[in-house]
Amino acid sequence: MNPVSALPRRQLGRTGLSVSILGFGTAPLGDLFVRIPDEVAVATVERAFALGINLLDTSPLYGRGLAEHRCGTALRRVERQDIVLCTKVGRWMDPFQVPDDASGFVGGQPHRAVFDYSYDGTMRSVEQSLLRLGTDHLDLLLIHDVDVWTHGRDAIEQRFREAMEGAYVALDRLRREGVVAGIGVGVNEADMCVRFAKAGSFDTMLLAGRYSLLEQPALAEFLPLAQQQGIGVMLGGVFNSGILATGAVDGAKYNYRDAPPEILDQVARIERVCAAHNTALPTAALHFALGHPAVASLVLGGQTPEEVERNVAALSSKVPAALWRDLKAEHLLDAAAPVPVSN
Amino acid sequence: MRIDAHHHLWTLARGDYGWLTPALAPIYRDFDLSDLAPHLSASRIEGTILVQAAPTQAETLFLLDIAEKAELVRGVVGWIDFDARDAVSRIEALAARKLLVGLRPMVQDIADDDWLLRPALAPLLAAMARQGLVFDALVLPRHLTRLIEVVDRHGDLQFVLDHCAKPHLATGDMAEWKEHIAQLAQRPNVVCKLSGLVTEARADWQIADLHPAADHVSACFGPRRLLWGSDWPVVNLAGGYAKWFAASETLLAGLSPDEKAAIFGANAARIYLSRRGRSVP
Repeated sequence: MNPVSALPRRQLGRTGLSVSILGFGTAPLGDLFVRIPDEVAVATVERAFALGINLLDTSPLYGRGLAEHRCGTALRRVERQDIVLCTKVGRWMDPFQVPDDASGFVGGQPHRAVFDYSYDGTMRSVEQSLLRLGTDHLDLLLIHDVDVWTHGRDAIEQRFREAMEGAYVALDRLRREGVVAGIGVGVNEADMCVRFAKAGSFDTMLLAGRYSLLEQPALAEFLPLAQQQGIGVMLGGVFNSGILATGAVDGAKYNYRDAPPEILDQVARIERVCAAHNTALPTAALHFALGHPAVASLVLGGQTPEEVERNVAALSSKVPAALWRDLKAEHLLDAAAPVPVSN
Repeated sequence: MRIDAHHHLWTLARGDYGWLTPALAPIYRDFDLSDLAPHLSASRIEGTILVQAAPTQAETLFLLDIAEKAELVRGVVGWIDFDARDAVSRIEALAARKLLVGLRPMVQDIADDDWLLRPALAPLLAAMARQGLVFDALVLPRHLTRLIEVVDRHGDLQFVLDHCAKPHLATGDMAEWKEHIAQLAQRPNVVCKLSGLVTEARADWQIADLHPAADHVSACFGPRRLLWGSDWPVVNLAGGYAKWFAASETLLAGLSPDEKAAIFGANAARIYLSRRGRSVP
């Protein structure tokens, strides 16, 4: 099993890093919603590497450190320089307090996550991550979750200021010292990406859920700005929490929750167009998200080696150009959205 | 080399210039080095000191990034949060950027007039002195007595008085300012920027309006301790770069060529660029 050549790579903005068009996201390895045995978790990362995925995205948040521990184990079994390792700052773990959050990480470490976007808090978080991951450098470091989704409208201005005055200053220093190659933010809102891109000098951004076959709020401003500034874009949530993978079935998830009727309806219509072109919905979702020239990689999670294999396989199917034309004709896709040209 | 010892650059979308509002229409737009270049060449100025305009460290990093790409900019006067618990380590970390030549807390905007006298500032100013950073004092006339005290406490730190402390040229109420400037100038570790006067004068200022302040700082500090600066783009609110430069040449017409060269460059090179920044050939 060595289909490395099957997964193309792209330059991540101006970072000089080359990343596979699929990255592996490790929120599930933090026991998100369900506990995963250590050996399955590590085997899943190893399978991702074996399939040619070289971008490993994690965060101290995921299982309050557990996902980073598991990534560290997998990393020790490969050459460190073959992997583009991405983690995040914004929370550090207090080992003397028990968890107090309802974040969905049902297992994980018995420590409390403390929000902290200050300079000192950032440095503490990075040191903790380096120790869990068993490495002396990171490739990408993102300021995590400075968005309205996480902090609410009342607190977001204060958090943004804290992040720019604290975390950003710390990350800029680490970049200068060579501890990280590229710095960025990881958020759920395109508007926050724009704000950060204008306020600081960022190399990369990981945006979850806001550029997918279902919705494209990042199309108007953020993605063009990213192209102009050389910010390499990684997209998370290209299945919008599941509904673009499962289709409009009962219990389909959208934005981390049960999908409302209008979303189910829109996805059902997209599915019908896909079916008319013999294309699976998840395959169309992956190809569409990669169709924007600012996008370097799609970060997909996975609980098992088989799930990673399915994701890679979904990408290897071709998509007829007529599919995009028909989606636009039925106003299911923004007419201005660039579509893949290679198929 | 002729040096403009005080100018700014800004990109409004960065979003942290609290004071810069649409009410200041002539300067409420982006200004970059390409906007400045024609003014510099018209005045035969070959180097500049780029000064912070926003109370954020992110803006200082933005300015340092610009400076590192443009040889024209010889040094940056930046900002850190002087009230932060880790301010000393912030100063030390930021000092790793060689083009950082000084720091400028925006004292004129701080509500507490006695802020300069806070004991907590002492280790910060000591750290600045260790790193060879200059303290740019953006103060108003009412702060001058406090500034004198701080300048005395930190004899090893170089102070630069910005904009002559903004004397009340428009009203002519300058007696106290004159007295305090004279006292400040007796301290050897402080110099004065000849800048920012036109924005304190009446809107249709003539050169005669500037003489009382310019002659006083000239007499008190002398030609070896005055640094000419444009305060561009702010100077656009009061006639613009060329008009202020021409007025300055008239104001200093009585000095020798050597003394003028000092005020228009050599002094800035000595104060800002002998230990840090891009040294002047």
